[in-house]
Amino acid sequence: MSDQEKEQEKELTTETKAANVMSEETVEIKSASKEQDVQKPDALSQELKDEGSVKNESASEEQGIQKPDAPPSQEVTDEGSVKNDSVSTGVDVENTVTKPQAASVPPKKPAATPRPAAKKPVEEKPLEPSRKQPWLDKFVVKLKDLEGSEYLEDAFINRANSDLPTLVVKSEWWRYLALYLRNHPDCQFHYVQNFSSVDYETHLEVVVHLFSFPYKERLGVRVKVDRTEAKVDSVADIWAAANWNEREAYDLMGITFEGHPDLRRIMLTDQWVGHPLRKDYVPYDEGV
Amino acid sequence: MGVNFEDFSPFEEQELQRNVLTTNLEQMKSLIRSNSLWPLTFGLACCAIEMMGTGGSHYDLDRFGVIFRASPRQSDVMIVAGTVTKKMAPLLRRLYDQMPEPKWVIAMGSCATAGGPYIKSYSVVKGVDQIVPVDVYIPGCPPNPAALIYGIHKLQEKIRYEAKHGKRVTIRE
Repeated sequence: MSDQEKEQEKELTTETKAANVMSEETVEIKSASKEQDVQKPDALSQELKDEGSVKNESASEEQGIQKPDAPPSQEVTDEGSVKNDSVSTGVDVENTVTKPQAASVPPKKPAATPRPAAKKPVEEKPLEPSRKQPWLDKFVVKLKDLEGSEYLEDAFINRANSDLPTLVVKSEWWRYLALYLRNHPDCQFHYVQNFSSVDYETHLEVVVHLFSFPYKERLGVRVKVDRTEAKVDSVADIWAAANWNEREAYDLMGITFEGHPDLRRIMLTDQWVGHPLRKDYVPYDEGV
Repeated sequence: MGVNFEDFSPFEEQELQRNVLTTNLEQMKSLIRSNSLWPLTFGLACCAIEMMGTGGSHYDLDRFGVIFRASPRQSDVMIVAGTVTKKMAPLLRRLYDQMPEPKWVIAMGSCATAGGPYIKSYSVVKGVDQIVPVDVYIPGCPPNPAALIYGIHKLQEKIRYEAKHGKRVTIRE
């Protein structure tokens, strides 16, 4: 099965590259429209549009793409394939790059997309590449395809947590990425398994564990937040389960989720002073 | 219906003195109250499990006249069984205020006594005596049913002692 598909993909990459580009465009446009439905913060969307349009101009000059909102997919795939060399260790670069494209040729059949080779049980030695590495690479490649690589600070396999593929996202891109992870047919992370926050003293971190039911895969996302001005975009309207969890993170860790529908304390009393799970918390009522 | 005491023969008068106890009203009331202590069901944590076990058929608190009530307005004693958080503290005080006088409080277990293992927590009240006046402290984590029965007996003893001597064992607020 996989051999046939690989052959197909190679054919696709060599012969119908233009068609691939077009299909990617459609997918991108769909995701973009979904974003607008969920009411993106204006500044961010504006920024996105600006960047897209800027890049698009250069791309359209080179390749003559006429669609106004289409991202420069050709240019970016080249970037992605170049960067992929450093990320994917021991995995066929050509395969990982082309696979998501081939999968997105019929964009409305997510269940029919080929599962990555991640599920095959491989005997693990400590230094062997993780069995989840292809799945992570798929995402890294996808995300790098998305808009260059400025979303991610890091992407790695969290071996301590049963090989959880983990992305470290810049906080200003968190909401955009969340929409992508939830809505894109190749991701479909519809379920928030875990939503928590950590104080690393140098910075705060929002940790989200997502689960994709069609692919039966987990993904960890970490969002770094500044400690003094702890603000991050809310995803409560993307995943309803994040609503109370964001309130908890606000209550105990003092992270302000901008755009949250009802950001109040959820555990402690409303009169509470401070956020007790911060490392530098000093109780206002010592001894009581 | 009158009984004429002067008609008693010396023998009858002797018998009467042997069988009749004289007391005052306060002591009488204290006897009645201490033998029908109705506690407010106030289980907050694992101590509540022990309290339930004490109320069950094996330890049988009913034989001391201790019958759990679900309303503060029918209760005489509040057995604070468990960890009191700062969010719970105003509610505990309100329930105490809703109980009719006379009323007593038993702090059951180390959490209600002094915060217990949560002494360093930001959210736990370090001793329920900061909110309500406590009559009897029962140590233990959690105290076993025998300890709770002992504490209830101590409270009964205290009620009777206070009535007999007309002074309080502890200074209340």
